[in-house]
Amino acid sequence: MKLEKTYTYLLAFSMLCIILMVLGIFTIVAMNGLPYFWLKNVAKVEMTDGKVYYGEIAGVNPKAENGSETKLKVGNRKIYGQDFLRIKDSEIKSVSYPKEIIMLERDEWGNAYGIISDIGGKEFDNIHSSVMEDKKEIMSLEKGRLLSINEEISKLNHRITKKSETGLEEKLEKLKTESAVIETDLNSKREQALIKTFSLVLADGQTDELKYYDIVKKYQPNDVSLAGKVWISVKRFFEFIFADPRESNTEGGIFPAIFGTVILVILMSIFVFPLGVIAAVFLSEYAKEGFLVKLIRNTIYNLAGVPSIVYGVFGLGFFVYAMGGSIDRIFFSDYLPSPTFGTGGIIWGALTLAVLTLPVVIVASLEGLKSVPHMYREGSYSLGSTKWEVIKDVVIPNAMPGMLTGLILAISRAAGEVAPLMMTGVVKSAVALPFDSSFPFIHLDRKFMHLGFHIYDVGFQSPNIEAARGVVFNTTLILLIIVFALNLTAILIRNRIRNKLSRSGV
Amino acid sequence: MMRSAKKELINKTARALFAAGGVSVLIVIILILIFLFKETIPVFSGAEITGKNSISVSSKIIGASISERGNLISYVFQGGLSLVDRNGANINRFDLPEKILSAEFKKNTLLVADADKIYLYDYRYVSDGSASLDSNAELISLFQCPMPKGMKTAVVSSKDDTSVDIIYYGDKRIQLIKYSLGGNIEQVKIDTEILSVIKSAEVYFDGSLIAVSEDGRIYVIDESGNVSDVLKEDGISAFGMLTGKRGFVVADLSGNISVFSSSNREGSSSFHKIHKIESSGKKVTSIFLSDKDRTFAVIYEDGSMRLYYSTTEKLLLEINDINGNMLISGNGKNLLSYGSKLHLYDIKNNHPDISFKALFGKIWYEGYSEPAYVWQSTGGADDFEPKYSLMPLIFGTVKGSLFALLFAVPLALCGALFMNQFMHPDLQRLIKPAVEIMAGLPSVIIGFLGGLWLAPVLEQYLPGILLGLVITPVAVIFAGHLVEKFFTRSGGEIYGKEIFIILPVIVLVFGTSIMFSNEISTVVFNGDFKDFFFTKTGTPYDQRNAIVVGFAMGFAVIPVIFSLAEDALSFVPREIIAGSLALGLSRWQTVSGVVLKAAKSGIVSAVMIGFGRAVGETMIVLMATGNTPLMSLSPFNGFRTLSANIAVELPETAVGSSPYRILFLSALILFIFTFAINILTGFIRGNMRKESK
Repeated sequence: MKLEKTYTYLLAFSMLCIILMVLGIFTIVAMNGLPYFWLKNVAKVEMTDGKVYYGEIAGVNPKAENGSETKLKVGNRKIYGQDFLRIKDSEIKSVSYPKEIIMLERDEWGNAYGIISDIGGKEFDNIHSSVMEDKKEIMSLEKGRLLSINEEISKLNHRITKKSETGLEEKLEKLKTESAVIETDLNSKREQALIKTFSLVLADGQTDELKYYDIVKKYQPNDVSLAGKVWISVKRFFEFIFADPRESNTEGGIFPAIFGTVILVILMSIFVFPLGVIAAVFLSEYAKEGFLVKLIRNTIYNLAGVPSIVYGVFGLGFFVYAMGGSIDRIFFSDYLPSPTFGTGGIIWGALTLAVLTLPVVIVASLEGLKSVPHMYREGSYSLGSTKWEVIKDVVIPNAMPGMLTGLILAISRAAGEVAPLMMTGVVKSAVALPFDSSFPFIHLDRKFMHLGFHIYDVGFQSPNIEAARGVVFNTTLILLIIVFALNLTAILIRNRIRNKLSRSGV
Repeated sequence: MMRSAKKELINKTARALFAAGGVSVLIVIILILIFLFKETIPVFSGAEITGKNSISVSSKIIGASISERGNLISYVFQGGLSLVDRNGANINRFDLPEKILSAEFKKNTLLVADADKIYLYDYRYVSDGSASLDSNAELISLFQCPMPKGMKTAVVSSKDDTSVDIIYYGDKRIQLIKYSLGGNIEQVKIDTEILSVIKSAEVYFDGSLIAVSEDGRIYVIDESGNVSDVLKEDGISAFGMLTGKRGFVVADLSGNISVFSSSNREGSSSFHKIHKIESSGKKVTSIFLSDKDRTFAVIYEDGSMRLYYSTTEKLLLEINDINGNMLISGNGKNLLSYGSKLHLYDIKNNHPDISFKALFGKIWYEGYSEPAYVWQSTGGADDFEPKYSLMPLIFGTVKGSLFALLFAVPLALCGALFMNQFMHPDLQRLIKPAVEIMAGLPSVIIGFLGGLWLAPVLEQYLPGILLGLVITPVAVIFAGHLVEKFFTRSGGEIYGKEIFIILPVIVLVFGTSIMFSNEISTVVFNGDFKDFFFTKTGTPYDQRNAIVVGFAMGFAVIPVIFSLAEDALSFVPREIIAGSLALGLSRWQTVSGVVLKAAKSGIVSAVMIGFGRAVGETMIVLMATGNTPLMSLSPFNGFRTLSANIAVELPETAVGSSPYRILFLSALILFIFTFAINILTGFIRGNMRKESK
């Protein structure tokens, strides 16, 4: 008897392991990601042999081969060749944190650490912010008007050479002049911005001439109070969400990935939600239990179990090559052999995910429809409504929470699904967003970035994975938060529906 | 109340619309199935003739050639060379010496021989620049020289920008001479006497000469002139070197065709008969080989021709009435037979490299010492022999899934049993959503943590973790025993809340065993576990291995099995449980004797669905293994699964190519497999529901 009882402890142990693993995932991701936003103090390390280093202490390895070692992030990769340095603790004379040490985040070559002596802090900030204004303008010109002019020019060129259309030369010339004017303007602006430099005195006394243009942010970490640091961390967290990536995705933010995911999910919802709801309404309201309905029910059940990679293969073969290829042959034949729709694009990714999430939406919608009490329908019929009116005015509004649950679950699935997207158009770095200010605003044929794929790509395809750890763990954290929030919402809504269902006694 | 006609119309339209929506689900799945089949099926078809052009020629043809894309044909006759298009219209004509005995085209060269001299030309097809298709040809005379004494035949072996290698052979002597393009002898590479009469010879990839004789001997003559290997066949009637020069085809007197290749082991190479195609009863007169792939044409004495593919030993095509010789165009889409007439065949031969055996059987590839299961779809060179065995991938899929189930099944089933039968309802309400959240976690996150966090941690603390996995459950049982003995008697009721007692035990025991991981390593494995493993088994420790995948994919599978098993348990009627308890059985006896028995089929189907999920999982295996298509049973080695293989290779594969279709076949296999599991479990669960009612 006693021993038998203790077996239940083994079962409880299993249960607990599962819960610990779920909690563990969240903890590991947060613990590895969040410290990346913390502004670390910059140490001035003086060695016994007279050498001096500035850098963030990244870790101490007490069991290194030659005694205890400290890993120092010294930055200035352009000059030192690497970001990190390992120094022996026994050779350290002193460690101090002088307030005047500056940490600079740059577009290239990683962080820089040093002291700015030739210019005051205020003055630096003024010049820097004015240069940043110019930079913003330059960027928006480059990505906006200039890009669309160049696209138009290439289209015109194509029409003139391939289709021998006439009367376009004038227009072409006009565009070319405009493009040239913008470009000279850009170049002079950029030159003006680029000549503004300052010198940074590095730890070993040499000075590095830096351009304001390349500086993203300036920090003086040792001069910031604890509260200030917390505030800066929060700011950096939001910068991470809203900034563009730098240094081939290993630094900076993940905005294009979030944006791509959002557009993808919206497109997918447009396809999957109506279809899923219609199918569910058919099964629940119209269909009489028979062979066909049984078959459809089983099909939905089976579709849910098909591996996502199979949907990817189907998406590539059917949507991209068959459908996209046909669209190209009919509407874009002038541009062949370079494909327009016959290659991966956001529309194909969205359609593939729509097929993949269809069972999710249907199953949840069915549950929602089941929760609408029969009395409602009967009441409505007795007032003379047609079946369509009952469905439109009574059934669907009451079943809406269930249907929305399905949509939320589908969105959550789509936000994290990667394998099918790898076949249908996700890229590590999209030149242009699928949605912008140039006509027709939504570019369904464009390739896109995606949060889930970003994790795979930065974490596993980067040449320098160590440097990318911050970005990849925090991208994971963001995705985890999104998926968690979506799932929790869905679960809460569904529990309410179930409660209603059990109360109404259906 | 009367309904208006308009209302009725809207009502009917809505009905039709909803019905269409419902049926569209069915259409989607049928579309997927049809599409996967449609893209896969062509892989198993042989070659077929899609068109034939006959060109009549007035004089006897001595030699011929066909351009890369099969649109131009050149043929040599006494005193000249004609270039014609595929309909026989003349395009160009070049003069050649009179009284020639042989003319041989080979990769941009034409070698013509008369009774005592050879003439070497550079001959190539050219396009006029605007089109990609060749439209003309150029003939440039390089040099002429007398045939070395005692030699009867000359063959170009290779040519580059500065030199050309020519093989000469006479009755019993063979030479390989390197000339400059001006005709000066730069080096006599090989000059050797052989015991029997040479029938044909070619250069092997390592620079040695392979010569065959009428009486059935195959000589391998290395670069220093030593006859290093002599194979014996039953008389040889035809011989040819496969593209890539790593294998050659030999036909014996009774019509059997064999392919030989060498393998290198510890510095010395030995030749094996890697393929054998049984005789069709007819004598072979000659063999012509493709430059594009391992397709070769066998000509029989009765004027028929068969097209084979070396790797798969597959008979692709048979043509009965060809006259004489058979050339294969560079793109493999045209055959040209020449003799008294020219016949140009258009053929469709898209997938000669695939057969059932190539996908699922052991194949002896060129350069291998034995038949093997290998997946290697691309290689460095154009003439690389692709290896398309799905077995390593299927093996990897099963291995990964089994490791995942090994970890997931006990945890998920025990967890579900605990939650359903023992847990306090308040806690249940908290735990259930947690498991659902777990099910919603994207596999890319799990795979990422598996590959980037778990793999290095496991590598560092493996002995401690393994020990922890064993002793923690034991410690939990022990602790449970103590609790039962000392605390419950004093009135404390802890049913349903055991987890609060276990939590500290887990943390303490598991934490300690990890802390002492290094010490365990030193004591048990003489230092480093990885070195210990390598010296014991001979296989290196991969950081991303099956254990990592087992944990990571197990994590993904647990919520699937958990929810379904819990579902099955809750279908067990409460009356049965109540009855069992009323009869005096203990809680545990009820669970093990009644509940588990009643829910057995549901639990089995839960495990099966978990297996199906693991088989199709892509991102986790992609990230948590090294993706090497190995067939190693070791838990510390990586593997590649069918799904990961698709993800890795499909985006870079040309549409319609053999690997493209094989990847579709892999997807089809996954589809059908998971479909079968779903149908089977659907059946089981259907029965279960009925029984519970």
